[in-house]
Amino acid sequence: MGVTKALGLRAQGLKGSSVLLMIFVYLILPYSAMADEYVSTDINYYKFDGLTVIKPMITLNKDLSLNTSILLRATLDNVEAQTTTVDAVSGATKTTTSTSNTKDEDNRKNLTFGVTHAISLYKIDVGYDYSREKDYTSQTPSIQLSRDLFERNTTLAIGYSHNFDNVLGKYMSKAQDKGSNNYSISLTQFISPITVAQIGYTYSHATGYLGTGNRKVALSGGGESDEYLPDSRKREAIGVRLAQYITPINSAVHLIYRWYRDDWWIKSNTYGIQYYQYIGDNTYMRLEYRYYEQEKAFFYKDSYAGSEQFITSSNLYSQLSSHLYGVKLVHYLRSPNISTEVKYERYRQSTGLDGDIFMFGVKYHF
Amino acid sequence: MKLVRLLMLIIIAAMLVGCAATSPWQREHLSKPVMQFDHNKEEAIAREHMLGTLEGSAGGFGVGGGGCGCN
Amino acid sequence: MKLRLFLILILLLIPATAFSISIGETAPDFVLKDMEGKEVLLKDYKGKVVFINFWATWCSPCKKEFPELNKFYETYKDNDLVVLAVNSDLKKGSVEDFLTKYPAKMTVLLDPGAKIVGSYGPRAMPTSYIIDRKGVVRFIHFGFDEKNDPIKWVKEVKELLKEEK
Repeated sequence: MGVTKALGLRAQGLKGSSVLLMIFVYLILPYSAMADEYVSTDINYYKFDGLTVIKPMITLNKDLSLNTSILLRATLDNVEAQTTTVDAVSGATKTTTSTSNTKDEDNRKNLTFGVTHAISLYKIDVGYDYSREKDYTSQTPSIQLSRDLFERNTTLAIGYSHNFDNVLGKYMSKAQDKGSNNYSISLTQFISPITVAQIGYTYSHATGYLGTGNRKVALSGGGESDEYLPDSRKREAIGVRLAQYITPINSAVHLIYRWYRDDWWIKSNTYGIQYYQYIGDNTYMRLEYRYYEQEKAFFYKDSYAGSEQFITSSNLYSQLSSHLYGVKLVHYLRSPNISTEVKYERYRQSTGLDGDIFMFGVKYHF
Repeated sequence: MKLVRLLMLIIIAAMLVGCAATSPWQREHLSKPVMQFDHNKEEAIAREHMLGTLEGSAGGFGVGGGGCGCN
Repeated sequence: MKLRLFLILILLLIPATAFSISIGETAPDFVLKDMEGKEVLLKDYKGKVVFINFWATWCSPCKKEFPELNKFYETYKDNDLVVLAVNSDLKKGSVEDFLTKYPAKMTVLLDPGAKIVGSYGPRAMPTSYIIDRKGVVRFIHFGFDEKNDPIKWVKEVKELLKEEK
């Protein structure tokens, strides 16, 4: 679908499924390099206006055999919100209307299971993701196929996943389903011994109940309404990344750009830059800046009369821009084989939302 | 969108011009953590999730590849 | 339109054309220094079976293979077998740190400019070349198959050791 359209092939009657099949067949040729084996624990702490999220995460990535590895990951979002309108950061449900001043708490539990199998030059990843909170359940099976080409200078990957979601927000009388088909394709290329680039394309089509069921909208004439969003959303994005090693000073620079649009008329651009600097052989620091800007959805208004077909109070669909900047420090111990990292970031959005993000992680490499 | 598609094709073609640009023994720097996209996958997942709930966009990147010319 | 699809497919099908020594060819000669700085010449080992392994400390399969190579060398070192582990790390310090953790029984040679590994052109890291008594490459192992390679090394080296000097 989006793949053929993006490549201008639809006019030739070449269906998306045919192109994906061709790429799939090409990918099925004889490679084996199992992933880095580790067990890690990461704790993220988000402090936004009136919203605090503590997010511990535990991951195990281990080889079962020469060609097979498994991944197990458990995440728990502990969310506490004092005020309103922001159901952000965790995705776990937040508050109600702007007049509410209640304390709201929720936990979002997430489990991920994955198996990777490698044969010669190709690798297949099969995964399953399960998330649950008091008003939202999501199950996502996924599959990804990748192949190394040209003496492993190039990696081509295609992926597919489907979300089976169920929503029952506090303002909903009964649960509703939401489904999404998600496709991705990416190409990673070594350009020189010190340069690597990646380009990726993703397409998704979500249908069903696309709201949270936890938002009301204040009307211009007084009173409030439930939120009504379209029941279909098609999204596509192209991302480009470049990493350049700077040999004389033992550092690296990453440049990131993402172009996005969907059929709700939201268009966005994301620009990012990361600077890595080694301090000695076992420690490096990362400085990062990210700028994001988006246009509003076709149905977004600052004020609604109540007669509109689609109506929302979420800033997610408004015109906005944001800045994210921060610093991270990573240190590798020799013995035992452990790495630790600590990060601080600041997020500021033009809507007035801003907050701090802290992360601490420890990883034991087998 | 036509322009974006064309740019995408040009970028892909440019990337593939140096198809075998590095030999397996030349990938010491490329194998370093600072040269990996999303070296810490857990951090990348947490960040994508956070930003997906703060902003109206998502997606764009697929799997990271390469790393070294090993095995 | 069709041209675009054709161009994409052509680009994807461009084969790799890097140089690589093949079985049956004479092994390129070299002079490299060991960890003590002493020069080692490949031609000095003519008449013996030479097992050359190209490896690096930043390569995960290389690190898995190293202890197996040690074991293999320990078993056959009294025969006419030479094992040379040629490392292409940019810094000698990385090799020293690695060897502190995994002491080497065989000879480790340093090729920091990657000139010698380039003359062999292995298409993976690690790669092992088994050279007969006449200096001809007879077996090549790309990568490291931990289940099968140690068994194959023994079989292949035994076959070459039976050949006349």
